[in-house]
Amino acid sequence: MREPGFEELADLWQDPEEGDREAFEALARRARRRGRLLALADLGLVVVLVGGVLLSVFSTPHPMTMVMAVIMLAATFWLSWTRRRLRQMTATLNTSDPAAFLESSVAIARANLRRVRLSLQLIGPLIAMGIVFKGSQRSDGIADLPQGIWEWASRPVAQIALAVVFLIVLNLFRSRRRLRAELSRLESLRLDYEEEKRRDDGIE
Amino acid sequence: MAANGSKEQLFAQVSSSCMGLISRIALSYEASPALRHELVQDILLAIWVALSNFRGEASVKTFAASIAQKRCISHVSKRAREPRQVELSTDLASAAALPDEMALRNDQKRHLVESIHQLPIPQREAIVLCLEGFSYGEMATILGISPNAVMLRCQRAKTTLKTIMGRQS
Repeated sequence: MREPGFEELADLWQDPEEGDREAFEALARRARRRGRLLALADLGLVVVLVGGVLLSVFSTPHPMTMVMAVIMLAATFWLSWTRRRLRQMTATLNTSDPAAFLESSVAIARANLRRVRLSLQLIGPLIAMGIVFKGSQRSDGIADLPQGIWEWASRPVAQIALAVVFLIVLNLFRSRRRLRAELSRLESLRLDYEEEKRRDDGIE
Repeated sequence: MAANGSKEQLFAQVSSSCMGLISRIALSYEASPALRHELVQDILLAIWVALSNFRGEASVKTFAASIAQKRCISHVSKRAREPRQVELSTDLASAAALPDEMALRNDQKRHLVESIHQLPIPQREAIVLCLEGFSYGEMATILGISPNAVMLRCQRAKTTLKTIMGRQS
């Protein structure tokens, strides 16, 4: 299968070298751990969000708090379910043929882009709901709501939370730009494969 | 679907027998040692996830190579920006003082790797598997094309590689 000259290149290529078995084993252990953690991550996120909302409801029972809690629970379940479905798609590796692989890669990139767009569309209303929810815990009715929101927003914890949300939004915009670039690279790669296939078929 | 116990065993088998293969496939797509480290990590994670669907139709080595190649292509497409033609780091060679012959060999290997980086990805996939000593049948399984097409693609890749290496030297 190899002509003379190529044999030497193959030997050179397979030269035993810097191979650090310990470092590789450590990477393998970390990969196994990460694999297990990923499987639990979505479930854990839902448990934490639902637990937090329920705790808030039971600590300060109020009709408006209850309404906001129900809306937030529904949004959490729907968003988590959607994200989980998209993540499962991302984890699927189609290893059968290059065209299918590239198609699934493009589909994954598009799914990720949809997920980011969805997050960008929902994060505004969710922040607003979250602020109203927190404000409602500090007010007796709609009339007092702005005062409750102001009280909540004056707390350092609230300011830290808002700063974190701001960083998340920035990161979402960055992800959207990166995913668009990825889609364009995948399209160009698809053209490379099509060209190679044409040459395979042309000579065959 | 691999049972949990056998998944552990298979993964242990992959990490013990495919270290060189996975590291070299990663090397053929990523010059930066730090990014290559991440890439190897991603490949291992993808293998762990995919082992649930391993049914033993191909050897573990073929299975690992197939996933590694696909993961590397994903890595290339996800790169934050197009890589500059970076010099390969000296981690291809030992840091210790080397005899002349060894230094020359390391130079040749660096030259080979840099040339491989310049191949179009479909040809790069083929040449790396060729250099790894896979048979045309195994390569056909990994690349998802017919053995005949593999043979032709390998020929083209070898010719392109020789041209690039000749031009560089």
